[in-house]
Amino acid sequence: MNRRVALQALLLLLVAGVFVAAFLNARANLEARNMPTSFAFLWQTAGFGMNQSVIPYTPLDSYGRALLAGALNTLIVSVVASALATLVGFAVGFSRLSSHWGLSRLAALYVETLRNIPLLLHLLFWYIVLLTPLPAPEHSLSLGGVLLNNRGLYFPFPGLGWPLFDPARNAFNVEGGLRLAPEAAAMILGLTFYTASYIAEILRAGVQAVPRGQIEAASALGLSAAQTRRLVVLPQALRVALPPLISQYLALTKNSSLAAFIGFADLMQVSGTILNQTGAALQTLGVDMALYLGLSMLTLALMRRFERGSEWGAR
Amino acid sequence: MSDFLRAEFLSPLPPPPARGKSWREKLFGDARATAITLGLLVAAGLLLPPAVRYLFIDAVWTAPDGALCRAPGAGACWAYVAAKLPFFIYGAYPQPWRVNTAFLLALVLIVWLLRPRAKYKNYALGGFFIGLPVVGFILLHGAPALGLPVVGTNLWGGALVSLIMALAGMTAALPGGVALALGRRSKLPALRWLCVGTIEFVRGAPLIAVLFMANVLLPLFLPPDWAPDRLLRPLFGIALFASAYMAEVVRGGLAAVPLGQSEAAAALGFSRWQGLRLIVLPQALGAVVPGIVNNFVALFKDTTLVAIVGLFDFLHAIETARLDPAWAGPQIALTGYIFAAAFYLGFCLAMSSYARALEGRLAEARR
Amino acid sequence: MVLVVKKIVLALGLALFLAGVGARADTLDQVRARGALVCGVNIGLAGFGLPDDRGSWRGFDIDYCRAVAAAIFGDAQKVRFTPLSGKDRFTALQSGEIDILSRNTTWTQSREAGQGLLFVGINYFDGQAFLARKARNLKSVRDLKGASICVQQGTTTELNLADYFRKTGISAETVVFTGGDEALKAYESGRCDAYTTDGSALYAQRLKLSAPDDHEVLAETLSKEPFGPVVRQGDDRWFNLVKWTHFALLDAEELGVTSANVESLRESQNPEIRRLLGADNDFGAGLGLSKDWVARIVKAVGNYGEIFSRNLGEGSPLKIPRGLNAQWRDGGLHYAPPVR
Repeated sequence: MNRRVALQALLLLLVAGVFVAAFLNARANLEARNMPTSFAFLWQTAGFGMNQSVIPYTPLDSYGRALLAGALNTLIVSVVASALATLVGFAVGFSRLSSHWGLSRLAALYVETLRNIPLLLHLLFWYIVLLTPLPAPEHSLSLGGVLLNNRGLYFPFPGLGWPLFDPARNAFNVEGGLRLAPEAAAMILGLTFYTASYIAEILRAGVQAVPRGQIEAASALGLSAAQTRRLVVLPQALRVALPPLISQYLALTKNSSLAAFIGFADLMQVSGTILNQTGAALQTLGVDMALYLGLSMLTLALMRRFERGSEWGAR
Repeated sequence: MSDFLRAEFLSPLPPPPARGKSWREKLFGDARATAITLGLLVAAGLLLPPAVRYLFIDAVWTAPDGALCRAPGAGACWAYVAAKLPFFIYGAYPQPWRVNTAFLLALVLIVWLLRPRAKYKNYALGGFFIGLPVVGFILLHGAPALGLPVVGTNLWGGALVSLIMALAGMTAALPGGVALALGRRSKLPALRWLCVGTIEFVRGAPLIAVLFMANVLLPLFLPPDWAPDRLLRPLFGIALFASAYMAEVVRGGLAAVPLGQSEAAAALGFSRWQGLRLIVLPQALGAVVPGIVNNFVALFKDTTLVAIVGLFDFLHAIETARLDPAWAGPQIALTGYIFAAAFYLGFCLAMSSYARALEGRLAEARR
Repeated sequence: MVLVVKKIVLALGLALFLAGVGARADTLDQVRARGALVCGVNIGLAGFGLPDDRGSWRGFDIDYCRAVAAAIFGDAQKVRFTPLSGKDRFTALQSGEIDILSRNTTWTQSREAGQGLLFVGINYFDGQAFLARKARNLKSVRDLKGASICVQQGTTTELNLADYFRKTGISAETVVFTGGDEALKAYESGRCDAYTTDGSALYAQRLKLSAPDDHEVLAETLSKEPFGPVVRQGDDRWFNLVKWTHFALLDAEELGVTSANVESLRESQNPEIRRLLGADNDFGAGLGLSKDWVARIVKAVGNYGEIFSRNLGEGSPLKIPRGLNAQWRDGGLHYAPPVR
């Protein structure tokens, strides 16, 4: 017993020692490099622009607001891509399970190929695929008020008006309307098709975990194939698939941090700029970590509650 | 009452066929199958010929510069890949033979370790975890005493950097993961919470954030004159990241070993450490080899992110070479991406098919 | 008496110790003893410092190193080049690993006041500039109102850009990339109307486009980025030598002394040229150099104008106009003190 206490005390002492040494070094280094040590920079003027933001943001706003805009960009792209990835993933997963040989081989090919290619390559690919064939703003493709060019997709939107290219007002870009920039579109497409390959496998594993007897029993009861799938297989498969599915959504959110490579202003990209401009490395990365960790913990806690509360969890 | 119940009996189904369906039945068995097959054939007919034309027939195989590739209607520019291949593989590293020797050594050790029935695996293990890092460092970094001039890491690039990152990550992740997983099961609360904290903190963060931290914060926490090399910092980040994920895989393996095993070891007079090393760990790790390999696949793909801290990995080398004015042209980007995809696909598929084969063998062994 | 002797011995010992430890010995003597100058240069920037196909270094900054070597040894080949990244460059100089840092480094107050460095002068006046399509026919940066601008994530480029637009009250979309290459590619693919970074790098990056002639660098710049060679503080003789090598290159251009005519001009009757080339009095001795030190430099690498033209200007693929880098008589900023 005494040995255990001594061991733990030693360990804690060691960890504390490392922390103190790191703290002292950091203090000396920060001072030597003239780096800020407080969070005061969050209220200073950011001074850099951001091309897409859901909240009003101009270079005159503060670093704190820039971080918030970046975090919201991360959140929106992640939610949209998660929803689309689930759709595509389920389609591929069911194709993989199809009794049709060709369809199931094709789905297998999709899964094996796409998930063995790094996500970064997916994003770079979608970015040039979106940019290369699209016309310049002055030759925008137009359909029912919706404009499409290599600067984005513009929708009419209440309050923002109709998108319009008017050389007299702006010789370079379409003005007005709600805009989806190519960076955001490439992020969503890349994340969707990459994550879908994982979700397809999760769905397949879930369906295969449903005992054969269940399906046989359903068909003995006279349920059609479609009814069996909807009423018997899917509910049980989802119960198995839910935890890995949630961790895929979290992985997708973390993966959206690759945005900086294709010029999308997500949390990490904005942080990188702030870090470069202010030198507040500790504080900026601290905020990032708090946000990412907070999001995963919140999701996991919700999931645990949901599992405990719902009949899905009781197995 | 319920619409789940039928009022009348169905006609009995035909008996199951004596052998499996023929391919004709599989593809054209009923109307639905026929429709799907026809749909797939039409799609293949529309997509495959242009793809084949782009990749092979219209592709430019040999050319002194990008002029032929820029011609309208030209397909993939393989001549560019051929011309830039040394840059893709070595970056600006001046003496390729040193790189080749190091990778040959790594390859021999890996094949030795992966062959299921190879002998003297202990030596291979020692070679991989101790010999390879030392020899690799001497070969690649250089040792003036041995007549190998020092090559600064600013010249390293391409597949060299990708593979070093992946290999070093793997070498560090296995022991690191085992240590963290064991710590997580420890009876000492302080140690347990330390390990849980580390694992969850790292797993909750995106790799980009971990790399940023390793690149920016590590030098801050160290004394000013320690400044680690610019290749070493991301290496540390990758090793930490991979260890945390590996710890979760190993934890699964440890949970799969029945308690009776360590009790039996204790009854036979093994010390706790001996029981762990000789009885529990071999079974635990053996059970999760596929998981470990899948982790390596993810790690290999993740090495593409080191470009964020300014390293020239394989993908970044391709991205940069794309801007050579001698070759710049409309097909260069896509050609480079196809080549990069093939590179990563090849490595990852090799690893995951090994994992699958092993999974089959393990399942067989358990039966 | 004994005490005084002791003190002197102690002081001498301390001085020797400091000299040995700090590598603060006379740089010129060290270079002479080594038989070569060690020069810190860029890892690779076209026009400024880049190894050619045969591995021999070429560029504007490289020729400055060669000029110093020519002044000391009469041989421009006696230089060893150490490629340095932006982060390592100052440590390498402070630690004595290199004798001169000649690597498109911006002269700022904090670098001299805080980091123990000395800039010998400005050999290239740079500033943040814009690359845009010629077809747009832009007259000034103001014409970029409402445009999309690609920029690399950096310490000052984004900030300068936002400052400028705030100052002028116009708005533009900025698209920020981690790497300069990514930003340039996005610009080329049509995502942006302009790409911005330091002017010197912009001319080199323009050559990476598949049709460089369709693009132009706007004359207007957003920031002051004066480049110059850097030496350590604490060795005035060495500082003077490098500084006057720089001035000699400028004076030679001003007086029309080129690598082609330097031999024949030794007989010139122009007193300024006679002083520069050391025909009568010895101006080299004060720097620890030979009497014909300027002639050696010009013979080996040419004058400033020749170096500029060969690496950056009309004689190079970059085709950077002289602009601010012209002699003061031609409307530029280069004005070197005379050799006298």
